[in-house]
Amino acid sequence: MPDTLSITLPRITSRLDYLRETIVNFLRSHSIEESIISRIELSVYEAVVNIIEHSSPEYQNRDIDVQCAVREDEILVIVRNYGDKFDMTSVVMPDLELHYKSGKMRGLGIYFIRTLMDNVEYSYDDMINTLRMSKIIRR
Amino acid sequence: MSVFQYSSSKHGSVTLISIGGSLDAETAPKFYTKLKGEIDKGVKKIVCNLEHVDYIASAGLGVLISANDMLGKTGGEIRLSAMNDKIRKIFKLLGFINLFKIFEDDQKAIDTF
Repeated sequence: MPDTLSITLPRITSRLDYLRETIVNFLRSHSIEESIISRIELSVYEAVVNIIEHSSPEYQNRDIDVQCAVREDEILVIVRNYGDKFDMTSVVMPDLELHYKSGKMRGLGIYFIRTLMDNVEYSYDDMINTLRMSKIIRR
Repeated sequence: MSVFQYSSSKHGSVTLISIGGSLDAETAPKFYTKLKGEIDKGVKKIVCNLEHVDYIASAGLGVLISANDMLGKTGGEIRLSAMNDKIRKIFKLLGFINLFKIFEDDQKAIDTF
């Protein structure tokens, strides 16, 4: 069974079901706990939605690459997209209670990712945004 | 393509909304339009049954937050009911479990309004 899954997606939300389903099936095939799978499923989804919603229209035809690797002690997900620099890790983490009270509909994606994953790193090189997210596992 | 189901019924002054499928970036605008439609009609008390929701992303939670805010300005409120285990765990992990008013079933949510 392969330890790494690679998915290439167009920048459209209607393909995100396929992304979620593929990631979930891959992690289940490695007997990963359901609670961990839910965290990964949601974090990858939020990262890709963020790219689709915030990237410049001129890069609309550029695919998004998602890689998911099951390692001995962690699950590592790497999301790459071509485009202008957008470091979602630099966005200030919202205070959940204040956010709730303000009634804001948007701006929770990064909160989801940082809360659900153990480590989130960003880099930008040669027009490629790379988001690395990992979750520690015990097997 | 994400599946989204919506139905509503009146129980005295309370509107019970039942949602099914995914509350995600694709379905959130439809959910928002439906909820906003209820609020624009003058509804103040909403119970939202999440029993058949199998996935909720930040966009779906954002709609619930926004609806609660709109209702709060008119003296109303949104309550959540019958959350399944998967959705309850997500709410708990993300810290939303103590922010929304969450009830085991519709009747309890309606009766205590």
